[in-house]
Amino acid sequence: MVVTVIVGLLCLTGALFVLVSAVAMMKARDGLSRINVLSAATGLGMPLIVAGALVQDVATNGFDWVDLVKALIAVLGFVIMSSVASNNLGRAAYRSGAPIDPATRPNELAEEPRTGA
Amino acid sequence: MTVVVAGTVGVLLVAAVLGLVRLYTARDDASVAAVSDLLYFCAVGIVVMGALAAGSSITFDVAAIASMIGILATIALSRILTRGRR
Repeated sequence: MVVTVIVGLLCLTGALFVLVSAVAMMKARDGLSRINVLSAATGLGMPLIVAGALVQDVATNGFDWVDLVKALIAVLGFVIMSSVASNNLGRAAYRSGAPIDPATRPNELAEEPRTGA
Repeated sequence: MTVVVAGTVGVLLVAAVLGLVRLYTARDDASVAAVSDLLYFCAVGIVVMGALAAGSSITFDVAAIASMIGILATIALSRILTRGRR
């Protein structure tokens, strides 16, 4: 019973973080901020869901190192790979002329490259 | 246990539907890529919860591979956005 509560807490909190990210995307004004708010889902939402699955897996079929390693790979993948892709996408979106909020600070892509500084 | 899985899948479905609504209202490519990423993570979450409910042994293989491979769509679309340049 306690395990179900723990797993429920983890998984539901993870799903709520994905929902927070979805709502933030509804409210975002321009493309770049929509890419930015994705981090709530990948940084916290998905790792919590995987953690809940890990707790449930440990509770039912006992502790297993291989599952722990796979879960860690999944969490690191969600956090790192998604950030790299979002960064890449944001730069591509800016350079391809997507309309951005004029209040975007700092905007180093707009300034001249500093030569030799 | 089924209540947990049903609740989580329900919340993820609401997030996916919100993403779809955003997809139809915002047409610029950056938002399309970002919202498609969100939909992808909702799908991965639902698959992991389904594997959890079924008690399958490959839950973490699916999660690990999904986190590694899944972002290629975002990288591909960002390359499309810049018309092939870096």
